[in-house]
Amino acid sequence: MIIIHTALYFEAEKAIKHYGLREIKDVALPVRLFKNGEGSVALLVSGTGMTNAIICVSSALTYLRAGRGDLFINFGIAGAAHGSEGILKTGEIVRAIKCSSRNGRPFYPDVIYKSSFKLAEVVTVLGPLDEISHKYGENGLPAVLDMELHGAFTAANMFLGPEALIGYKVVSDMAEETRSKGGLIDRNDAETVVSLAWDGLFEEIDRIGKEAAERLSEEESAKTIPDGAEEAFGELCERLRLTFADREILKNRIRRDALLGIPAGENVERLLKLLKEHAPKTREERELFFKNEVMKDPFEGGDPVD
Amino acid sequence: MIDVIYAEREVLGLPFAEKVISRIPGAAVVTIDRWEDLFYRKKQNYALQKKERKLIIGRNRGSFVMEGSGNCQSGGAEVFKYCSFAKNCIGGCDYCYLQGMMRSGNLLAFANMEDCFSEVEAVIEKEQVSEDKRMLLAVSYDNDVYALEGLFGYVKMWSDFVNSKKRPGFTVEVRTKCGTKSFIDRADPSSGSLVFTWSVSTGENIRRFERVTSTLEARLAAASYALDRGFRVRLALDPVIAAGRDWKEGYRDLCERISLLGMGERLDAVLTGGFRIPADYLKIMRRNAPCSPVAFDTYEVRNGTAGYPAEKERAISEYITKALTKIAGVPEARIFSYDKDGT
Repeated sequence: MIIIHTALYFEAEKAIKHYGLREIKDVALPVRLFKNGEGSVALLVSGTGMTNAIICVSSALTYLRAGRGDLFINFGIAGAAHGSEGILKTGEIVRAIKCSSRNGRPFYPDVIYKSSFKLAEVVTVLGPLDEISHKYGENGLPAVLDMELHGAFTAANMFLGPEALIGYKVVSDMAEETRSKGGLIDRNDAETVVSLAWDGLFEEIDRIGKEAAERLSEEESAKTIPDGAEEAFGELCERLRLTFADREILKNRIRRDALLGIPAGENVERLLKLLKEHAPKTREERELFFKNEVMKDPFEGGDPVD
Repeated sequence: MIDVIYAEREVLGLPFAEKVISRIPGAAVVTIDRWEDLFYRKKQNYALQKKERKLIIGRNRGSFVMEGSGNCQSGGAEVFKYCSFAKNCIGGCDYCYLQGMMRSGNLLAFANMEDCFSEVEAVIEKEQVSEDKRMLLAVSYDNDVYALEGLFGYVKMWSDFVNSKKRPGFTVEVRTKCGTKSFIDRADPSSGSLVFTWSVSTGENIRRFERVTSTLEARLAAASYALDRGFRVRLALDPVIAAGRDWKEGYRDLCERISLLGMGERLDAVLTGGFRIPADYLKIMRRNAPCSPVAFDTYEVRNGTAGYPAEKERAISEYITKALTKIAGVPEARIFSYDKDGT
């Protein structure tokens, strides 16, 4: 599942339409949460600020049972930080490679899935007039200021690994200039940059979602016992009255053999056939059969030095 | 291809960091406070990070030198230590213990090598290393530093260190799977304190279980070249992977190649032993390397180490020792087998 997080509804609107999302009405949810029919995309709107981000991301990810294979994508407007005005343009999208704030250690999402956007540091501030006391945007890395990402990533990392956390920001203004005007930005301008940004983001999000699904399917296909052979494996273990530990040993052996070229299904069927032929009756016979026949290494050979 | 370098603020500006950064043009440089903030993050996906490696350059604020593991052989030295100044390597070997040991799959290189060398000097003094109390310092267990010599230049640093003054009984071992000969020319064999160990396996094992490593032919050719240049050279048939129908044939073929190159009698030592790994690491390795047949073989746990069942371990050791002596022509006294002595 791709879980998108925005602070404000206007930042989410275009994605809600694009993915055909419907709001989930649940009184237990302290957050506006949307989902599509297939359950492949969800979106939450947390409200502004780090506290909202932490609470709402935690609640939504718990509700959605987020875990392995899911992606968390934060998107929203940000101001180009002082010093990055010459590097970033209004309307430009950046992807977070570092996220810092005055609270706690910086967070580093893993940029495993390639991006067509500039990498940048996102500095999460308390508000548009907040003073930043730490260094940012060093070594030519552009920096933008937002109000949620550090909190959102910290909360999401309780559920997902750093490779599954992605932060996109679209530059809505130059932060210093906005500060000098009292911290307010024009809502119409912001809506326009957000709308254009989504047009550029959908393709990348779809590609990353596809890549993540492929990787998950690779991991799944490396499962020890393929679906079709699970019943036969269960029967084999049952007939041999294997302990949990022995089942694991056998599973690992079948997995190793599969990785070395003997398909798991074929291997289990062969063992089951062998078991039916030998039909060990007593506990001792079963143990001997397990040791000498089931665990016999099909790859053992003679001694070519002699 | 490394596209992101994370560098501690403290090491930026040091010649080591600047040199490494300049050697990866186009990579984004992200300034970090401490390497631990990245290396020990929660819920990292080791396998994915390994496929899309990033580089972290930091400062080691702890110890560089540690006791050599009881699972490795010192090749006869009385004092066995290992030194870790770079973690993870560019290779991808299915049987690598790093998959069970490291929380992160990213490369980590320490820039404060002068602290490392001071610590090594102190250890040599403390251990009273001499011709009668020899010490082996393995410097490339956690990273194939030789393969990354073009990027980090660590081998040259160690060569300069051992040649800077006489330290009787002290040997630095650089172990590698890289077949590049040109890096040998960066080092100086005159002190006799630098030993190169090429980690070799059968051609089939290399093809099946290793990625981004040199071919067997290239490794043996590099080893032979180093011998010709006057270096002490060792081979590590370690770990012996007894998987697949033809593993014995494979090791026989490997010994024949060693013999054909006339290396048997010229080698300083040959280290061998069946695959083994701390049992705790094996559990993590199975999670981090779900497609590694080596990880899912059947092992016995003895004294906290998972390895082939004792009987098989003995058979492997006997077979390899026999092949090395009978075919490769290595004197038995120079074969150090994990099963035999474990030292």
